[in-house]
Amino acid sequence: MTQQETFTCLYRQYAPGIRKLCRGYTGSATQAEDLLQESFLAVWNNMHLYRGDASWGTWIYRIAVNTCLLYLRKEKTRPEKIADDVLLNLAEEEHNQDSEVQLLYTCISRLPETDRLIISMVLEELPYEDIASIAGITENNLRVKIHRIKKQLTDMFNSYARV
Amino acid sequence: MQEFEELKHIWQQSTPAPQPGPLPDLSKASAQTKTKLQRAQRNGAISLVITALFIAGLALWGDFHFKQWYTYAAMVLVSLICLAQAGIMFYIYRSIKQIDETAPSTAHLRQWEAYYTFRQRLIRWNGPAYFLLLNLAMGLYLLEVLERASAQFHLIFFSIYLGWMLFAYFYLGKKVLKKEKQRITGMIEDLRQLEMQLKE
Repeated sequence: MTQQETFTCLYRQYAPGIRKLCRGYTGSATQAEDLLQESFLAVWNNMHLYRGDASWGTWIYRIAVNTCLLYLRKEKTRPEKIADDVLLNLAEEEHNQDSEVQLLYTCISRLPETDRLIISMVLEELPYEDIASIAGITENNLRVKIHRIKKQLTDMFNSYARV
Repeated sequence: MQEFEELKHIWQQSTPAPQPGPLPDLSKASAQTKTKLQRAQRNGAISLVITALFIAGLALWGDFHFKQWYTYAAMVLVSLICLAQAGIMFYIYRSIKQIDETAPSTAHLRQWEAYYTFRQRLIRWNGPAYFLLLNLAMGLYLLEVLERASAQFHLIFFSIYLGWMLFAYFYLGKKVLKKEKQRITGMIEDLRQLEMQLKE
């Protein structure tokens, strides 16, 4: 398989998950597309460095996480700026699947940066071992964090969904 | 009241269409700091190689008929100094390129810190050495070129030359270095904050 063919396969397989990770991180579909582009650009540029120590999935998620963490800090539009009234409007919208999905993305984007990525990977059902390896922390530390983030996210979602 | 498992269900419902859309445009320039730093070094090095070749070409085929050998030697020296500086810039380019974007954040941070230390050490001697050597070679070249010029021309020429060199070294050069430093320290600071978040 040529590099281009391998890349195309990887993109088809992992782009949907990475797009959701980026969407949860930024809370914005437009910024998520930029990040997806940046992440896969980095995948393409670093494919020669892949040695098979981790699965392609873990490797690509690690690149996406690093890209997200460094990319958004430079942006003027930060997800923290999403105002409460935007969340309230989302919650007030007719209760349908789309508004719940958008509310969830927006709630995730209000968490601290690393928490956003960790919870997105948990929601995407990546194994804890992989998430710990991607974030560069121990599995025990990760479990403690996940417990806290799950509670924080559920509380936030419920507080807006109740309005 | 939603439980986390229900949030997971909502998340999974949000699965985008099976087709993830067109492939990303790989020719598009990356907005990442690493790429910007790499680009600056690579472009600078290429410009210096072109300058060196141009000056060497003038020395060889310029038909100047200089009488003194040291005038030609000065032109060769300027070319060599430009090539040496281009070599240093290519080395910096390679050092940045070797920083592994696929490493976990903490390992990534260590690599940027190591690069920053190396770069700071290099800046301390490389900038002044390049400036000094280039001007010595230029001085040697001008010995014969300005031999017959009037005192008034000397005064005007050296005022402009010295003015430009000082402006380029103390303003433009320092500005570029300051911008580069801001980019690297900004990135290191960001990575440190992220490392703290992960340790919490």
